[in-house]
Amino acid sequence: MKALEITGLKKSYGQHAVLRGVSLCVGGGETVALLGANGAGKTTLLECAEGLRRPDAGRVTVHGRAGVQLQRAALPGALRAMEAVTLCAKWKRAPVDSSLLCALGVTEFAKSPCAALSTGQQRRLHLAMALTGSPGLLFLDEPTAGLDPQGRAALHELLQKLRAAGKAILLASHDMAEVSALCTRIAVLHQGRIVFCGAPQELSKRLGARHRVVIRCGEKERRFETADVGRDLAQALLDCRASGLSVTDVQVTRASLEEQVLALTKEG
Amino acid sequence: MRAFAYGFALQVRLDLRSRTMLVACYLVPLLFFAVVGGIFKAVMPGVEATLLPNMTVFGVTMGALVGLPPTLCELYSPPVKNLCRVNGAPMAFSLLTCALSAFLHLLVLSALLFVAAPLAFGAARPAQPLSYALGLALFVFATTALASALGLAVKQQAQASLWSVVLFLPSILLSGIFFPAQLLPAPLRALGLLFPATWGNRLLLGETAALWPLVGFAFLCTAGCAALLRAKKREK
Repeated sequence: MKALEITGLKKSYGQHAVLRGVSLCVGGGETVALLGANGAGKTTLLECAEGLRRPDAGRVTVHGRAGVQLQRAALPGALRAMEAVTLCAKWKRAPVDSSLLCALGVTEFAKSPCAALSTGQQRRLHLAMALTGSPGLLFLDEPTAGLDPQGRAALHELLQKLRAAGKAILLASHDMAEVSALCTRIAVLHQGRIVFCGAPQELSKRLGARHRVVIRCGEKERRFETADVGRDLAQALLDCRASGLSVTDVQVTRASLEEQVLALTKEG
Repeated sequence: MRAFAYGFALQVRLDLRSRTMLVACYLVPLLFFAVVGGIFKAVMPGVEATLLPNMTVFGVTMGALVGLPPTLCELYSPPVKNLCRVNGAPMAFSLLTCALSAFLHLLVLSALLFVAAPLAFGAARPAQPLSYALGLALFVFATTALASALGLAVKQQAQASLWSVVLFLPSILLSGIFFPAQLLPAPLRALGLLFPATWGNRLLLGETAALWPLVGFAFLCTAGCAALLRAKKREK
């Protein structure tokens, strides 16, 4: 079941077109990552979908309730964490979910004023507010920015549980390890358009499974990238032998998701 | 409605906890009352008749104009406003809870002065307490509405503090609290009519003609707040 449908979304700031007809669907049980360089339009797309910005054209349909974690958000300094969650629950006409607060570790700083919270604690509090009311769709903008490794791991676990429970998640992130670990699909934004939308494995297929090869012959080193590692590596080794060089080390690594996205946006 | 009731009760506590309102609404006005009330009593014969309205107008003006705008400015800054919006808070929520909380605190301050002024300095109580209370409520409302409009109009807390002082000083100096407005030069007297403190002082002193100008102030400032809220909703 579709939780979010975005059709032909356009948004310009003055003469600068940020979104040029973006269409995207997110279904229940899916985690979709929005990827792209800074200024590609990820945050603008999220803000249009969240209702914070009015698009110039196109349509956004949210089926059911949505929870939102913003990239830049703040609460009054004197407000205590638990008061913020309770107020949010009242706004959403939903109960405060104690198990959620425990899972996110909010109970540890429930009585602390927001001004005294660390960046990671603030992120966890904002996420707890977003998850209050059990929304079917979640918008997360850089959800783990500022979190320590433990907090990051706990959040990843929670997001995987939420996906397993059928929630739809649309997240913007620069952390490719996070994207690889969490997302069922990626949507790559480039110059205001989605240039790829599909499973990370499909991106590898589209670009060809690129490998990076390093061959060391004593002091000398030869590096290259290839889409046909079997053929090109064999040829490179034959070239070394023909040149009278003895091979001391060979490294073959698969191109990371980050490199694939970079290759795609260069190609686009 | 439950969210509003909780938000209002929370804001009343936050105002005391955050110290801005505590200082502007209680500490400074009561300290001013204790010191200046004593001086007035010593150097100005017959001040007992005007002391209670004068001190009340000072306290309400200070509490509203100095205490409220920085709080509203923070609540309507994009990071806070957007967080509230995406979590389902209506746009007017923060304004209403803050303004109502300030209104309550200012009434409490006025009640404290009402009790303390006769006891401390032998100040005269109003001849018609009900009219005085209604006039006071209208004055507090008008001043709170002006402070709210200021808090919504400025974008940064530093600017809010600056404009608060810019409005507060002439409000107090030209309203007839420290000396009769008739002694002021005509242009300054005319300028004083632009501030609710002048009309509030007259109304609390029993001048019923000050009622409608104060109603007009309250209406204009409330309309201004509504227009500013609409503008805030449009901007991201």
